[in-house]
Amino acid sequence: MTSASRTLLLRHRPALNRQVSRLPIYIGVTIIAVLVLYPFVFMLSTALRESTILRFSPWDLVPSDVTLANFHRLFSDTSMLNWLGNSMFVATTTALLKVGIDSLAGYAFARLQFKFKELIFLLLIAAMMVPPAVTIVPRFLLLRDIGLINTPWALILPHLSYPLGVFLMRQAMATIPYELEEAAKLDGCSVFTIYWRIVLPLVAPALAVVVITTFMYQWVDLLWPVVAITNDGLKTVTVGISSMKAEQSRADWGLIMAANTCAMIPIGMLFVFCQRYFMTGMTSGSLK
Amino acid sequence: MNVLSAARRSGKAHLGLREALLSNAVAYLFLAPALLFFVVFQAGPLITTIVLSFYEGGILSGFSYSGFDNYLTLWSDREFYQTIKFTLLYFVIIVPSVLAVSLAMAVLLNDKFIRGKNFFKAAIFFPSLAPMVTLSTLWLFMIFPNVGLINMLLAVVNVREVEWLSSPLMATLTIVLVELWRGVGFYMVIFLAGLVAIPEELYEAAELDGAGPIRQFWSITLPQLRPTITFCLIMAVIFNFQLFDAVYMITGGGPGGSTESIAWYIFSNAFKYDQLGLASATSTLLLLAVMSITAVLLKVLPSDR
Repeated sequence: MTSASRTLLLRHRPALNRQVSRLPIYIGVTIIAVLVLYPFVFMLSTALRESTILRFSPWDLVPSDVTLANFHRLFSDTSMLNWLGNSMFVATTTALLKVGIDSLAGYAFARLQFKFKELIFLLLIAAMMVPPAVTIVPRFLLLRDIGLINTPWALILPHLSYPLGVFLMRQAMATIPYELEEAAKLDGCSVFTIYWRIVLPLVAPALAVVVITTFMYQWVDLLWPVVAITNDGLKTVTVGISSMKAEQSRADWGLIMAANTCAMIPIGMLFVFCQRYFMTGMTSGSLK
Repeated sequence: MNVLSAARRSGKAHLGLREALLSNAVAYLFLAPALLFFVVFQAGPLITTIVLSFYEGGILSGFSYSGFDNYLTLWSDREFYQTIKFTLLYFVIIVPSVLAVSLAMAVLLNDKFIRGKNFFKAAIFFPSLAPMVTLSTLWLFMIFPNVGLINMLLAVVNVREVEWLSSPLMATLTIVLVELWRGVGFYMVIFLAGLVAIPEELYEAAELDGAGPIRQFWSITLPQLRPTITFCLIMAVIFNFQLFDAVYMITGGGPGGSTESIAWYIFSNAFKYDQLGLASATSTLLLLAVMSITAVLLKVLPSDR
């Protein structure tokens, strides 16, 4: 052994020791991660096997006879395709409308001076604490009176009033240097042009946060869609799955797991491609 | 009036006022869509809820003014009493456990020599994105009598089959476990963001003074993390007052009404029994509860370091 490689080895020994001393932590977090993810693997595995076989070993995760039979039944026997389409429409429309509305309002709070600014902002912040169940009765009566119950708009419009996005947009826009806007103002740009041409492109990541969190919230929501949608063909994915009677003793697990797999696909994709956006969305509230 | 006449007297001030009015108008144009939806779907309904709580009836029976009758009905309603009891029990278990577990996970993962940190973080965070409908269904599947995975595992260690949903306590624990599964990753990510912000020098100084990891946790990590803990505690209180999905999917409020959350109670009174007035009174009480608890927490727990 050359002296050079010996010093290299010596230098690496503390690092190795450190890793060994962290072994209990690795074991602990690995067990937790496996426990937390295992049910999703189990879901996929059940969805992909012949549903006549109800009894299987918990270790037997990879079915020997992978089949799409459950998905085939799901799309032919239930309204799953409608449900997916409805959820997609509701979540996408809400996200796009909301990012427009919230970025406009966020700009006003971050950059413009107007009367009652602090008061209005305080009201919006306070409204974030109100559980949706508190306003569910008047919201239902209102939407029923204007004939929107049992339409996608009953799910889209109320969500546009949730103020979290305004808060996020204000935070992001407050970090843009004033000099950029001053220069544009001297060039004779209107306030709207400054908002549209200068501010919006600079806060693109925050816009993505609002779009993604809104989409996710609408995709997973249950209480309000259960109240507002009773027509089977107009249900969202979550309401559809909740009507599949998983609590009954003769539940069709293959079918139910196939449905849940469908509900998880957009979430899995967003998780893989846009993970950092919802992590920032969540933590920006906690750090001033 | 005063401002106006003063403005008329001097052309310069006149210009200033016009500018002020104009900039107010522009700002309110930017705000208009958000304010419109806020008034129609938040502020308006909030006031209507309070007003409706003094009316009896529903869609089929019509509304009639009844004073404080709804509140008196709630006071003597056994089901409402059960709802409060369940909510207290649920809060006492879920809030400390979800915060303690997520903080512990965050502290473990914050160790600077751990590799693959992002993988573990992402894996544990993943369930908090899933629909509660899916999490509940998966849990129902795993506790399913005879074929359920959890009972199978318990059988391996010779524990007889647990009847998860037939006793009030076990049904409550079932809901707690699902909510823990969803919540831990969420709070863990927030705690990790708070931990990263703690200056490294504090730990180095403590190490020189001979403080071990446990001492460091109590004397540095916890005090430094106070604003984050306050934030997470308030979030946990607000979120858990909204408990509905797991109850709807797993227990349906049972057995014997022992797992009825407040949101469930509002939902079933309003849309199953057409008691919209009674539901509004419950909503008003829920609003008061959330507001006052949050106010107390903000007052008691200082949010600055």
